[in-house]
Amino acid sequence: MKKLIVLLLSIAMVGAVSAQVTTSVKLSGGVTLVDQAGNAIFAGTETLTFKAAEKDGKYGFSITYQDVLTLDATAGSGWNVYYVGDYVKYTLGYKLSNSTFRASLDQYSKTSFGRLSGISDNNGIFLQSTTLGDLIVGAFFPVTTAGGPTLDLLKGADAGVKYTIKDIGFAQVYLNLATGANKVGVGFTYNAIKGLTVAAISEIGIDAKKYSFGASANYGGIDKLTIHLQACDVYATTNSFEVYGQADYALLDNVSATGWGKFVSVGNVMSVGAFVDYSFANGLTLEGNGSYDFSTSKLGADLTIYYGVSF
Amino acid sequence: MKSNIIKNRSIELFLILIFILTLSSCATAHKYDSNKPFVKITQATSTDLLQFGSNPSANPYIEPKSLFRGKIDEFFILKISLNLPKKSKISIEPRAIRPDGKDSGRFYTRDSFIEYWKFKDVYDEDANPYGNTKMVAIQRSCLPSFEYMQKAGNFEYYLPLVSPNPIARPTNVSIDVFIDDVAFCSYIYLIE
Repeated sequence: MKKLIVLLLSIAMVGAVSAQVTTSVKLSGGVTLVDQAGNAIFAGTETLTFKAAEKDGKYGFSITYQDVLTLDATAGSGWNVYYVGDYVKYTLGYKLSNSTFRASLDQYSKTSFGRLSGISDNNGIFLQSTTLGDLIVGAFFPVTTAGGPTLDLLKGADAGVKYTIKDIGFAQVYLNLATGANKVGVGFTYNAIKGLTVAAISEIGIDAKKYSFGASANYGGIDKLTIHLQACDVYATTNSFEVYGQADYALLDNVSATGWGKFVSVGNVMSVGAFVDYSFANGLTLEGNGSYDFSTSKLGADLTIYYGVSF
Repeated sequence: MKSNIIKNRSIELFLILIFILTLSSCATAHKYDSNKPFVKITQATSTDLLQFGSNPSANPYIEPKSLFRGKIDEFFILKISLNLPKKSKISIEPRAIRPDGKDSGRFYTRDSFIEYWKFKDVYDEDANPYGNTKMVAIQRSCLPSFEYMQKAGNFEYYLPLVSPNPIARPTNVSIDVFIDDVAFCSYIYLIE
């Protein structure tokens, strides 16, 4: 793996000086300098990514290596190569990830159901239309390293559709037919009004007998203030719902203050918090966080540097 | 219990439908204005672009930057205002030419600009906390295509010219606009 990374890094660097190839080398993650217990820790997943593409984007590759600090070969890394043909974009890869058909709420990570399942963490072949205008259709066929009957490619296929209604929004539909998953998801994002984005998503897990629904709205039309509201409802064996609200205020171009509140019906957990972000040096963000959990009466606080840097 | 759940889901789906229909009716607010020109093309101002926020992770019209190399690409953003009395076929032919006759960069429309940012974004496409905001902003604001059917009304789009930093100077930017296959107007800018 290390040799492969060195090889790809070399290719990326050579590409950087070539007019025919565009390259991108990126590293992201975070370091908590101190938390309420006085501890420092690497926060989140440290991710290293190499990408290279022909200058017009006709073909290229990408390799992502996660948990670079541990250099763990079993960590969730992946690669893909692609070619954009006259009608179809062909992608072959290990742990493919494609967000084209993955409908998402505004602050998707803030509630337990914030976006639809996608094809991430699967290996195989992905085909996506390129010439249908506002309509994009795609299909994914899994190929396992363990091998298996060719017909299983079809049994485990996924399919997706994205349709843009100009000046109104876009709809995404995703069908995951893999055994054990069998999910159908739909989403609609409305963005016709300046400053307002509204999204609604729903997913039915057929095998798991699970139904999920979520909706979000964000409005940024009030000077430097942006308001986000989001809720989700999940029914499996029991019903649960979550409500999340957030307000961001841009103090300066590179400094913002945020306040948030969240309610989770399971355990009646109510929590509130605030953080201030200071962005500097093209990809570094210093964040001061404070939160309070009413169910446990616990205060949380930390000072963290997040980095998302290109080289 | 089960019938209650089904009933609740039906109510949720019904509310979504009503909500979407209500919002869709708001889209008719883009009414044709007989006092405005059919087509107007200007360079987007910083105020125009700040409607997408000042956070570079969320605003697709702020150039990608490298920790050590600074700005990786330079953008020149055109604002295209359309004010059409009826549904029309729009064709836009932009060019950005250096004095030696070579292209100064590439113009991106909606889907290609999404692909651009998927490539350039510092985060993996599923991991950018602001990735969704950025993609939705492109969906809403970027010129849909160089040739497409535009419904009647008053609409604004942005058309980014992207070049490795810096854009060669001087660069002549020219845009020919056709409405229903008839040459309608041309705009010329000089980037110096």
